[in-house]
Amino acid sequence: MKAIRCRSCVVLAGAAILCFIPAGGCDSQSAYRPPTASVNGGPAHAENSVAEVAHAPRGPAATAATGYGESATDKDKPAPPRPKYFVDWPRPKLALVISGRQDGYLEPCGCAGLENQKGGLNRRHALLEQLEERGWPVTAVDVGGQVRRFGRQAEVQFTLIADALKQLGYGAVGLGTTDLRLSAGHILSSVAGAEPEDTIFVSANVSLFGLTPKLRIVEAGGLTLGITSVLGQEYQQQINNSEVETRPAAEALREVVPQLAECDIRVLLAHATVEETKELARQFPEFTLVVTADGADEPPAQPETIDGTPARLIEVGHKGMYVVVAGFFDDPQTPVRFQRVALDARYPNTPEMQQLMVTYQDQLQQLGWGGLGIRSVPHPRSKGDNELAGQFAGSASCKECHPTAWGVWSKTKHAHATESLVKAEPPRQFDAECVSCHVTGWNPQEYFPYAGGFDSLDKTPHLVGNGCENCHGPGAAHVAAENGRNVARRDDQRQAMKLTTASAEEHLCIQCHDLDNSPDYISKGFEEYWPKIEHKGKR
Amino acid sequence: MKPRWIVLVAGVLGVVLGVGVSWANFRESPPLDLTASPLGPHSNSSDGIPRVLVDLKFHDFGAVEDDSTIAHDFRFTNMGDAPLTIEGGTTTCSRCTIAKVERPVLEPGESCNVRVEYRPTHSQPTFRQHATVRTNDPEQEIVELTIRGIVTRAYDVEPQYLVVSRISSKETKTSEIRVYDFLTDDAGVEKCEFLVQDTAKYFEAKTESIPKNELSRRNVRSGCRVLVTIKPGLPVGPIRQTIRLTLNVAERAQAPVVDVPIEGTVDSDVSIVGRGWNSSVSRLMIGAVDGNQGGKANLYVMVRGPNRDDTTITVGKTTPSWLKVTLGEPRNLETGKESGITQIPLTIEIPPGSPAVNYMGAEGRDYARIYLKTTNPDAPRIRLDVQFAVLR
Repeated sequence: MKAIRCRSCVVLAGAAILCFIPAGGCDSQSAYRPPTASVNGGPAHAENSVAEVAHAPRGPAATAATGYGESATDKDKPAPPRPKYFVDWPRPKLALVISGRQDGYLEPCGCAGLENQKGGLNRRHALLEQLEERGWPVTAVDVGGQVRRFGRQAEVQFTLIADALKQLGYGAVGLGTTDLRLSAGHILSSVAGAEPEDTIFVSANVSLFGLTPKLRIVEAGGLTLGITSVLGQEYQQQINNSEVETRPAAEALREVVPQLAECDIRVLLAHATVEETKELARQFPEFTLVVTADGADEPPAQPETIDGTPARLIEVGHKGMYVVVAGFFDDPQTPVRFQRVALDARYPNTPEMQQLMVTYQDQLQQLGWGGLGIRSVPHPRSKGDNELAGQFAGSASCKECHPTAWGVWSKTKHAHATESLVKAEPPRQFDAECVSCHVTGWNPQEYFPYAGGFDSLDKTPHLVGNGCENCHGPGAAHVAAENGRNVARRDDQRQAMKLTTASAEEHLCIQCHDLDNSPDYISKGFEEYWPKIEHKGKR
Repeated sequence: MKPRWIVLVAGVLGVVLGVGVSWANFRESPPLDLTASPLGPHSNSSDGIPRVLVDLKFHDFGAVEDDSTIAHDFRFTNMGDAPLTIEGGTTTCSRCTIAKVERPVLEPGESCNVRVEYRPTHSQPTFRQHATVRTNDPEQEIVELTIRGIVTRAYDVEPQYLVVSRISSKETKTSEIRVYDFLTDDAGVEKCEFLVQDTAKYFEAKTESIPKNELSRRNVRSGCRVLVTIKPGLPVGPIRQTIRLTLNVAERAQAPVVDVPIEGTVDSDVSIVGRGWNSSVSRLMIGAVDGNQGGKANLYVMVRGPNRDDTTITVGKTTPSWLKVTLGEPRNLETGKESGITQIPLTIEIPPGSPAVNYMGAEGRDYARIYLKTTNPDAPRIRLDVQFAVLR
């Protein structure tokens, strides 16, 4: 009987529970909560995770510092709230900052209103400092792609960035396609430490004279990170540098990966296409994090898990505008978290990186155009028997016959374009990448002067400002023809100097008002900007 | 008690308890809104607060053509019980715009579209952008909309810049530009023209079709390669040339014209590399040094070419004579492609205790100067200018 009674109780209780659940277990409609990232499980591709917002203070300061590319001219609009980062993050064992694809943008992408743009070494340093101020152990890795162009200025940039990354405490840096197009000797001298092998630049399958290490093991936050990098097959074909030796990535990784076996975290920096990066991750599932230099211009809010592997694919975006911070925790439920960080205006300049910018401009000044390998090229109008064709006269020469147009121009920002470089901090009138749009007589997109174009404030003061001839073409032949007696030549030259708004809109303005440097022009269009400089007819 | 009665009693008890708990919950909650989508953060409200609900905040355009404008309508609904204001905010890239907010104010239960437009460009083959919308929903003042896609085009030219890195002035080097046609089987180049006239005679271009089995890029129908040959004779220094290609691709009414800049450096068989070294003007920049501590620069002499193994280098005259110039042990380096490179360390020291001098080159003054003598016929003598000053 006693046993029966106990059994009865158990049955009674179990039945009660079974009936309770369907009757009372459904809650009212619960609030949706966005998925949180985790190494195992979690959303495969949380494109749509919502960042918690914080309220930025209202007012001019807030208007200036936004995280969403707000135009500096939208002064009537209240500042949008700025996304908060690392919301609800406890102190991680290690915060790993992942960057890449600086693409030569030492400072925030573009120069038109720094409060609108993202990126730059200054802001990256400020982020690293802020993470350390939280008491987090921090280290950083970079997938490569420091520069964008070729030539002496790119070499100077590469050396400066290599110095900066070392100063910022980077644990390992990969070598990208654009980096490897530079002179191999120069790359080596930039990346080498006291000993040639003492460098943070690593590659499993790229060799610079046999001196580049294949991996680095870094200790931080009590964890060991094993890091290597590879250059993908498709990108190897773009190098065209006979002094750089390459091997297939998978072949090289077969030798390197066993050497990382004892590390707590294994990171692959793949300067490769997304497809090839994923394939390498599947072939080598030992890696915890796999970083690709490919992908969209903006990284996703959360990295995806690569099918068939436990690894996360980290995209870094382009132009150094973003970094991704991976936080490692002693939490079996959430051992790692990710935060995409836009390097926006909330991150200030730091004295150390600002000094590097000053040094950079000083070096450019010291080198001069000749030292930078910049030579003038005859203007396309130079053909023909007229020796003045293709030569520049200066905007002041236009004033006598075109006083109205000149008067309009003189009041615009075009007229003060060179002045804005001189007044910048640091001054940039020796930087070809800036000068090309801020003076008269340069090719704006390829950063070289035309013959007779601006040289310096001292030598060519008549060519300061973004002058008339940048749009209407070199005018020396036209001025001479007006002062001469050859009517046919005069008429020909007048015709050559004419310019329609349709032609300007299609071909000219965009040369300087491109996406990097004039985002407002791109979004608002020629129709909005033309009234600021509008001039018609021959007066 | 018989088992069947136990189960019956237990069941009744369970139901009573469950209903009681549910009643306690539901009594405080408003009725379920069956018209609402289950997606997106929101909470029901009966206290005069607007609540925004977006159908899906992410849109994948898939493959889109460049030079087009694409758009997507995101559906916004006011799930609250006060008017909801919607205002186009900002975007992370100026090519992405909030084109149209259909209705700036939504009454409770109303919906509208918010259109996001984007202009893809082939320079960004994959794109992912965010646009924000401001609302007066206190829980979602900012709604972030994400778009992404892949940019396709009718043709492509690769690379966009032809970089030959380093070549010798005596060397002939051929590099390749590839033209891909994604629409037709007849990719071709109608005309090649070198735009920089003063060096055009050192360049040559030849075109040929790429066999189908060599077309490794996805979705390419046909391809053509332009073999650009640089002939010996270019002066030492940077290469600057542009090749203009008039293409015959993709059934275009007007043949596309593409300019591909050609860049590189023409170098001697004996060259110098290192921090502070400017090969364009053969100058080492050390800067100002403390006279008590002195200064040092570490460079490398790199020897290449057919006379590499027979080349010896010695230090010649230096100005000032107290500059200490040392050549280290030669080291053969692997390149895997060429015959090899010999690397010779070159150290230039300003000894501690040096007199105050100014070799910065300002105001017409000279630089310090070092001569190296070599047995290499390509560079029998190398001059290094050194820019420094000693401060006391």
